[in-house]
Amino acid sequence: MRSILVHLANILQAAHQPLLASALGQWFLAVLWYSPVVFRKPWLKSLGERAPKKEWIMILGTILSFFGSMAVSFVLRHVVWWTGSAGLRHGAIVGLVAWSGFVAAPLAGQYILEGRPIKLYFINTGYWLIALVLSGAFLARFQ
Amino acid sequence: MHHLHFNHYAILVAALFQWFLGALWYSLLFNKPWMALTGHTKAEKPKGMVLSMVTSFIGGLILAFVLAHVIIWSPPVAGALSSALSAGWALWPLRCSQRRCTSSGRCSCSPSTPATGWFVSLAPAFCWPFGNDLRLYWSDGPRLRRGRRSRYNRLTGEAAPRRRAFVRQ
Repeated sequence: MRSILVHLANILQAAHQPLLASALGQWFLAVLWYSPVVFRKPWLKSLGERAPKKEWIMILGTILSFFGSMAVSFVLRHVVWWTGSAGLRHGAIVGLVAWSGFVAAPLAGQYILEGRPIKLYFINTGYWLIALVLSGAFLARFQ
Repeated sequence: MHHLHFNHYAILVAALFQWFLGALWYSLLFNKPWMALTGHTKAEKPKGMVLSMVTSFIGGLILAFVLAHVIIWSPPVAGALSSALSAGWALWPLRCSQRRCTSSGRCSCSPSTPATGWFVSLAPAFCWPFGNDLRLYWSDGPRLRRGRRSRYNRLTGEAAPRRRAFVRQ
């Protein structure tokens, strides 16, 4: 309990603005990525029967994804700190490594096992590639 | 730390463990709910089983490799724990000193005696230097950034490095 409190006090001393900005950026990217202008149609098509039927479900998912982005930014920021990386390039490399290990690799087998189309895999992990690389670069540059 | 210095057997064992966990998870443990949720039926022949097993093993290898990096990057748990414990004494006045219960059965706990109150008001002042110490510890040394003094440089008074270098000690 004590160590948790100390850890919390420790985290609270860091600047919060980059974290919030990174999460907001990821969220806006998601809204853009899954918008009708970009990948809404192929995404819904590759989902097939599993496409969300109601509009409010998609809105709820969009709202909830912000909290997910906050968590992702929070963890990515720790990894950026641990690597001691500063600057856009090193942050982007950290984001790329995190994506390859924690998004692309584990999801590949799972998507094949669940019989999901390869297009869906590329749309979903492509979003995370761009999101993680950009926010990694941002978090390393603005600490 | 170079890639070649990792314990390759450990990475292989981790990947194998992930693979076996996946096999167990989707066959014995959660096969029925998984089939119901993904819309598969028992009658149909499973497609892409071999491919998914091969892919998930390679994926497990990549994941274990990246995870080994993150573990190397992260601060040692023992050091972090000992720093946390040494800083924890500052939170001692927050302990419950008086527990009052009313006749209705409601109990409240407050560190409200004068002596502890004095301590409580000063607790942030005790915590602050330790927090900075931990933050520095977590930040893994000086920030390698050109031009601007980092938090580490500000707090320790060290000069900022002139050249950016990405060299792992």
